[in-house]
Amino acid sequence: MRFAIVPLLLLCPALACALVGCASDSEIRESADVVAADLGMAVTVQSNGNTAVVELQLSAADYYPLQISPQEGLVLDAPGAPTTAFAVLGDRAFLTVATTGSTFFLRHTRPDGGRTRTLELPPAFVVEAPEKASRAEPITLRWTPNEDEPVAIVATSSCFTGSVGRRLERDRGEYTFSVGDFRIAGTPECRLVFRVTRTLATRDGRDSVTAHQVRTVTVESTP
Amino acid sequence: MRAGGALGAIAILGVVATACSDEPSPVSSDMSSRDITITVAIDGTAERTRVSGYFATPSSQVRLVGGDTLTVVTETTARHLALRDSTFQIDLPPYGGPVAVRLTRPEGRGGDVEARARVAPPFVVRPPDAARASAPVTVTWEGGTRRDFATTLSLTGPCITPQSRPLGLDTGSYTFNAGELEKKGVAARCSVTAKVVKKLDTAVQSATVDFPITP
Repeated sequence: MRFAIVPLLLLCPALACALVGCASDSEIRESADVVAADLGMAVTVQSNGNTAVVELQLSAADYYPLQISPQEGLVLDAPGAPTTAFAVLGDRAFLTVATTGSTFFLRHTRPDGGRTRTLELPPAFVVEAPEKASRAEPITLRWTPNEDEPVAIVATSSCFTGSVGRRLERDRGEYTFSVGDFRIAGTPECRLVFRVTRTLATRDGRDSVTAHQVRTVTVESTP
Repeated sequence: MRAGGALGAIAILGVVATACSDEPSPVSSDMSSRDITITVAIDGTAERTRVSGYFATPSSQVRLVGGDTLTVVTETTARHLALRDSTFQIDLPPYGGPVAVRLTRPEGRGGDVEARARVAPPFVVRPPDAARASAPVTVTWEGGTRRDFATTLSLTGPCITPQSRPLGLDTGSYTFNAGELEKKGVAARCSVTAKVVKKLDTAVQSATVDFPITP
């Protein structure tokens, strides 16, 4: 009889929790409760060549994001820009900085220690595209290739719904969209927006950095 | 113990017998037209046009009786269909255009029931000459179909990165960029299948071609 209750508790977690107590899903954990050695940092940085946007999260050993405590000092040093502090909102910290640089230093200070993480962006690049292109002709985008990172291209427009995306595992420095790639009907002129993203993802222990160089070009599509 | 096992076997046999009974399925003459809907699907290739579908009725199975006849009508032919367990299927010669599946009913049963579809004309896909994954690869077919057909081109093969292109405009050709088909760590020759599908609702016209590709 005593053993019969075990499967019952397994089948009914709510009952089990009522009897033995469980941690609530809504329990808020703060970064100050985790020692520096157990703290992980997930950083995303994106640059358009003139402005960089950096976002980070702190996590414990289980990788769940932590509420960022006021004791955490988080600043960024970027070329050509003053040292900038992150703005904290719950479990995320953000900043935007005007810089043309590709290497940043993220300094994290806290009462039990500190560290500096280097944020390396993929090489900067410029995308060349025709200002205008006939809908009856393919559209070619060109840039300086870098075979180390994959490239993603997304085309959007107010002239068609959704988007047209490509992922190039091997960067050859150019991509040509075929005439058939876009469904543009009954519109005299429209603007195609091409967003080219080069991504470098690195991991070091519990820390991860995902860095994007993003360039956007616009092409007037004519009938 | 032995008696219990025998009783269990009898019970199982009873259930099986009930499920497999020869009880006749409902007949169409008992059903009003408003209780019958026909769903039709078309699968066309350069070899044949397969028209299939099913009857949705209050019963899962129905038999056509008493003057109810089912016909598939195209611009070039009209063929009677047999209904089997509420489903039908017939192969016609290669065809493009409107297709109607019509249940013609005697008076007093609520009128005829019809399902319509439109299938793109049959076509063939032509392979590229001496395709190399490291160079642009162009596939061509008879294109220029109506804009309401959704055309998709796909390339698959063991030595390439599979590609799928939902085309906004069917121009009858598509060029994959140099290197777009290359697969990381694979530099082998293999056979690639190019498939073009032109779809409108439940009507599909497709064509495939195999061709060799080298790194």
